[in-house]
Amino acid sequence: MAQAAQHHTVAMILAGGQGSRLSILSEVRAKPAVPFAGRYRIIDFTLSNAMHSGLPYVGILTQYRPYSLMDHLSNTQSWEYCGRGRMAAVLPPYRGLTDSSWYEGTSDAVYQNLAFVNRFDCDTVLVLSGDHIYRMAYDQLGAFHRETQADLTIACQPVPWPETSRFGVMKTDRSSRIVDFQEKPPKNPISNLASLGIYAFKRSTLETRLREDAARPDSTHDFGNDIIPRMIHEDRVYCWEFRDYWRDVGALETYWEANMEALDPSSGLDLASWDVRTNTQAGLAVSHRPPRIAEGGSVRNSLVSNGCLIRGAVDSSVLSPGVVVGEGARVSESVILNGCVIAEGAVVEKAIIDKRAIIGRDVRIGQGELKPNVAQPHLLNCGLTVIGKEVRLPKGLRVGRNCLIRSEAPEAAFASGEIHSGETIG
Amino acid sequence: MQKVAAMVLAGGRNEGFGVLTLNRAKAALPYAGQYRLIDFALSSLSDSGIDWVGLIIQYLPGSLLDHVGTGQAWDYYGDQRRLKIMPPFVGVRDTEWYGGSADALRRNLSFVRPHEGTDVIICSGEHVYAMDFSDVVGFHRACGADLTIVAKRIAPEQESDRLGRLEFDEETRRVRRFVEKPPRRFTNWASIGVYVFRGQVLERALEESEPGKIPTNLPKDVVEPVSREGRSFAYVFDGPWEYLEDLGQYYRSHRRLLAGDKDYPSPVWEARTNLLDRGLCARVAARFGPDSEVSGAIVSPGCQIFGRVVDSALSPGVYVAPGAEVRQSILLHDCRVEAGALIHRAVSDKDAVFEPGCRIGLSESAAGPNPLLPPSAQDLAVIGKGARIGPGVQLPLGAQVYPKAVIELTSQALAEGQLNLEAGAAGEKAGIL
Repeated sequence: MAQAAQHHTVAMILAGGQGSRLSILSEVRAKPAVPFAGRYRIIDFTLSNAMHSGLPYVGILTQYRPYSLMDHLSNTQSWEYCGRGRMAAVLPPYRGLTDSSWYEGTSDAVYQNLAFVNRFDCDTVLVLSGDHIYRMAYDQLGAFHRETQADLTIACQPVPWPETSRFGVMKTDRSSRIVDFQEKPPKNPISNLASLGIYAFKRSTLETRLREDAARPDSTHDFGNDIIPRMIHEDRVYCWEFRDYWRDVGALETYWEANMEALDPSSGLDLASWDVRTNTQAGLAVSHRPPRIAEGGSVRNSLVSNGCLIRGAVDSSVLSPGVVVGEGARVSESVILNGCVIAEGAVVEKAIIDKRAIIGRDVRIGQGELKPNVAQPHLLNCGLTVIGKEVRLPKGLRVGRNCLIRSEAPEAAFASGEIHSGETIG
Repeated sequence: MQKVAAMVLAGGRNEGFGVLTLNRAKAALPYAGQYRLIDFALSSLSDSGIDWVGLIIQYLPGSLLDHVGTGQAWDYYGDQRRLKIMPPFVGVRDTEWYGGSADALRRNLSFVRPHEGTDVIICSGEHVYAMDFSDVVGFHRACGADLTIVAKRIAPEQESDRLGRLEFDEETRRVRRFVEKPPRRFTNWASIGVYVFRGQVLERALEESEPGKIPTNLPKDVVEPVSREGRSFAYVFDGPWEYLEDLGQYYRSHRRLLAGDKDYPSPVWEARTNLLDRGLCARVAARFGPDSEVSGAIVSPGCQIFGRVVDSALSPGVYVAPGAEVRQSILLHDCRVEAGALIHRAVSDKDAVFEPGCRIGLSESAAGPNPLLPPSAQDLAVIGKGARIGPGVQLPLGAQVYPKAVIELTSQALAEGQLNLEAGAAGEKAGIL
């Protein structure tokens, strides 16, 4: 850990997003608070990076449904942010004498907390996302940033050309200086070097640009839309290439994929060596007992968290704490969040099931024709079915593929005994 | 309101656990994967709302102290909730180690403020149980008792000569007779080492009976006389309780846990443990490889299972390679079982490594019983902390490997059929039974 050098860096983590593409999982919680890979929540990855990089000061910007996130962060001791000289502060929107507003955009959130940044004698401000899965040494990014005397350094990664439309893409010169930029180009991308949404700013330049932007009435106060395009044209902006595992899990399908990648360290997501920290104490109902595989149960190619009890067959799945899989039940290629019950004889294939849902006896999920979700075809088209928090599926119900069953689904909706592929309930 | 305090006894020297207690107190023995024995007493006390707890330690307290930490894991923090650790100390009056449980209590009694009329719970930190202590105290007060002894009818498979016995009036619950470890069992009602005393009564009973003669053994020197002279009652307890007398009991208790119930035998499983101990909270969810076969097993966080695990309890961080097999065994934290290794009826301490192709516990000992293991554990193989069992090595049941020992196929002791492999000094070797 480059402790001494890092005294000059403050990290600001953007953890406010609602994550509309993560749909029902983030309707009731902020996206960074969504559980991941069994025991973790998404924000654990960024916070653990900050911890392992020796960053002593971190601000966490919250806005949307922050309760479960704040519950999880608690006093931030789980990431060793405790004691003198280390601090991770939750920064919700606030009212002041002159400022009084919700955060309007990502850059506005940092702008409204410049006083926090300036409390520390820092020359570099890292702006990070709370909803990415990766392991990065921010001290190396910081060192590159200082070496090039950049006003802004953007961590970038080459992505397959067809995917460039999901990212901001950068064109660089030989010295890695960024000379051109496109935000989510629908066609003819100038480059496949995508921004990972991980920024190192020179503090003084950041403050200047944020103040200018705040005064602009037509601005959306967003880093990607407003601040960065302008800086690329006016300041020294460099690209720092990051080639290791990195995933934005802000969409249901990428969230599911990344969970599946957690089962296979060769994907680059090698949890055993990453030392990701989490807060295991949050939540009153969390069970800490070790997972148990009963006689007659079987588990393959899966992650099984504390408190799980497996009497059926689990294959290629990720189980969060406290999941019960009954006798004769089969779960495959699925992500099951905390406290769900998969009753006897139920079959669950390629699904995400949110917390405390109860899948009744002999229910079948994920079988049938592969037809995209009718209401939101862009969200669900790979066959993944998503069941909302605390949903109870009655005995024998058949649920197809690309279905979306929301928490508020009325019981009457299940009366026919079948939810066809592509349907949305609730 | 009348106050309650508890004193937990976790300081005794314990024999009969072979190398498992060579370097730790019995209360610090890992149990059921991720727990330690002390967790059960502390969880019960915390859940019963007992806010003032003293923990008496003496024998090899290192790992116990690490585990208990500040007591925060059981919510003992803040101004009004306190877990105080009580090691032996020297002062003007007392200059020796604790002479026994009664001596330890006497020297720390000011903590419970007996003069304020506190009721004092005394319980063991080495048993597996879940008890509502507030109910016991309620009974004690309703009876106007000087002493309440918690009584349990002992099932045949749990019988032990090391328990106190008591007779009492089934209706009034008044104790007629209490004898600590009687030479002949006169009843199957046993004392399970949980008592509630009226503070002043305890204080008096712990004082010198005549100059220079202080009570040392709590059941013998304090409970017996008070049960004869004072108002003493029996609280009947029929909840889950296990007394792990020795390694054999420890092993069989695990097997019952794994085999018996379809569900977790609640409420023992509701116990809390210190999640900071050995980084438990930072471990990955248990990971199962593509060809793993697991049945009837506890697999704690941080385990990585690629081979076969049957009827076994694995503590956090155990690795079982593809093609390796673990049957009817208890493996503590971070053991590694390499490809082709076969482990049967083993109890292995932390950090042991089983190299490819080694075979543990598949044969009977040719050398007869191992004098350093209790009779109940002759059908087990016991592996010490950090030991390394080399490729192809075969160890019979009844074998015991010392901590950090490296056993190779070429080891002479192995060739000679010795059962206790690579001990330290002779004294240390003799001391562990």
